[in-house]
Amino acid sequence: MSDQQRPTPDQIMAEFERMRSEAEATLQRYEQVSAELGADAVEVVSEDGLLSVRLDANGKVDAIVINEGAMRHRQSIGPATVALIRRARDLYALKTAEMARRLVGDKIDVDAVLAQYLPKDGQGPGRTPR
Amino acid sequence: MYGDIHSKLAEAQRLAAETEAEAVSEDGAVRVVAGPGGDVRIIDLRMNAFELSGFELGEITTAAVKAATDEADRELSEAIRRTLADVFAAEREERQ
Repeated sequence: MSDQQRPTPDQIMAEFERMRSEAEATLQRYEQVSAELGADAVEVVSEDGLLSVRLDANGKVDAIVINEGAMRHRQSIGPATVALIRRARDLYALKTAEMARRLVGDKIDVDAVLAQYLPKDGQGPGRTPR
Repeated sequence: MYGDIHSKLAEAQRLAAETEAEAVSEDGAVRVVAGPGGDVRIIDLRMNAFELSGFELGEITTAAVKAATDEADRELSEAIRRTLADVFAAEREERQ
């Protein structure tokens, strides 16, 4: 590479500045969309209002709340909680996908990716990933 | 070599589907079986679970769920690490 082709320190600094601005704008956009969709606080409540599950910002179970009234339904608390966690995770996946759609939707077919993993009519994943 | 990597990746996918970890609360009231990535599969409550308040049972169940999912993630990471280590070791041998 000749000296003429080599970028000057000013050009390098300008490129760094452009990359920094882009990264800041992306982060700002991420925070804006995240707050708008409430993706940092996913919470689902059972239809009877006796159980609730909250996920943290990473989609992991953060809290399971069992109302005293639920203690009467001994046999169903376990399976109902598993089902509620599944619903919470599906909701989290949808919110995360919506965020991805808004942030990088022009570059990646988010819906196609999501279709491989989200349950279809409650019967497990839509299709098996290849 | 690439065929081998593909087969190892398929194996990693199989491991992800098959990995399961169990966590049981100290008093044995709550047993949780989970897969990696927060996939909770079974929550089993024993009779002594119903001697607790709803609040206490929620706390204990949460802790058991976290323990089981964390363990499943750890086991999967370890299994994938071993699988990939085999691939890279074979590649190194081929080069020598």
